[in-house]
Amino acid sequence: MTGMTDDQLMIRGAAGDEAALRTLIERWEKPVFAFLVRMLGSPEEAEDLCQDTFMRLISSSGRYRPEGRFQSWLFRIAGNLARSRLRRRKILRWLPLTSGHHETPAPGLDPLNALAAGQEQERVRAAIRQLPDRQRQALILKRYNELSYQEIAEAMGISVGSVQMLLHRAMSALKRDLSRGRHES
Amino acid sequence: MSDSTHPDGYVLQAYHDGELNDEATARIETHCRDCVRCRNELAELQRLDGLLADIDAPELPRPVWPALNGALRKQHEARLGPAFAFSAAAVCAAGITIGILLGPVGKSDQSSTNGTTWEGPSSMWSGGASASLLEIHLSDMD
Repeated sequence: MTGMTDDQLMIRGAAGDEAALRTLIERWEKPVFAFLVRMLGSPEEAEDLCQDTFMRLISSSGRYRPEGRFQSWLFRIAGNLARSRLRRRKILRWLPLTSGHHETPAPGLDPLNALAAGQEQERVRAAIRQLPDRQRQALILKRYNELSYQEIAEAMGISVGSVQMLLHRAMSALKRDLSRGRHES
Repeated sequence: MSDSTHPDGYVLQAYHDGELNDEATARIETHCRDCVRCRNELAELQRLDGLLADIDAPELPRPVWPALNGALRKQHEARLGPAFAFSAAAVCAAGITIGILLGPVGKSDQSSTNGTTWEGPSSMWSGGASASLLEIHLSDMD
């Protein structure tokens, strides 16, 4: 079962094969969760929406067309849920982009370096969470989930040109924020 | 390209991301051979990528499947609940009616029905559970 493609597993899952769905979910749960944490900033909400994402995947599996675009389709579901949650939440506060599992310094670093590394990571997280939702979504899908521009376009329901612009704006904003932070520190 | 001198920022970004076709890639590389500004721009993108890559991946606290399986099963049962409850009630009513009509004649056959279990349709979310949905709903009615 693990050697099967996503499309093959979806076909079997849509026909009621529970093992196929389980394999598919176990294959994708970590990337989807990581994406949602980065989008929402809250591991608890991300876990909740991760389950919702796969619920929707299962309930709409009969409508899935096996054209090798499973990843885009899956991240479209997850992205829509995340943006809908963000809209509802009406963000008025800083999002903590940490998962709560990364407080421990990387092994091999002395405490001062670890502190500096931690501060640097926090600065980057802060810069990411200040991006507009769509820029953040495109950036996360590209940098962390390694989707191509075409796949991001499909996942977000926009054109490849729009993806280019979103990513360019996101990277420009990050550059601006991070260089400002560097000068201030 | 934005003008005759430098490519647009989003084109450099696409080049950096490996998203340009061969022709556009060659154009950028030719340009960057002689352009310090664009080389610096690409170096900055590289540096930003490095910073982004340094952020640890969030870890999934627990696997999705067990909770999802449980939730789907509950949802499935809740959806089928009223139909099964109605069916169960209909079966009971039919049994009582038959029992009344047959009267003492049916009494001698009681032992043959002991231990018989109605098997409802098995759910795809059952995960191999032996109890049928009908059994679950009948036990819920107790």
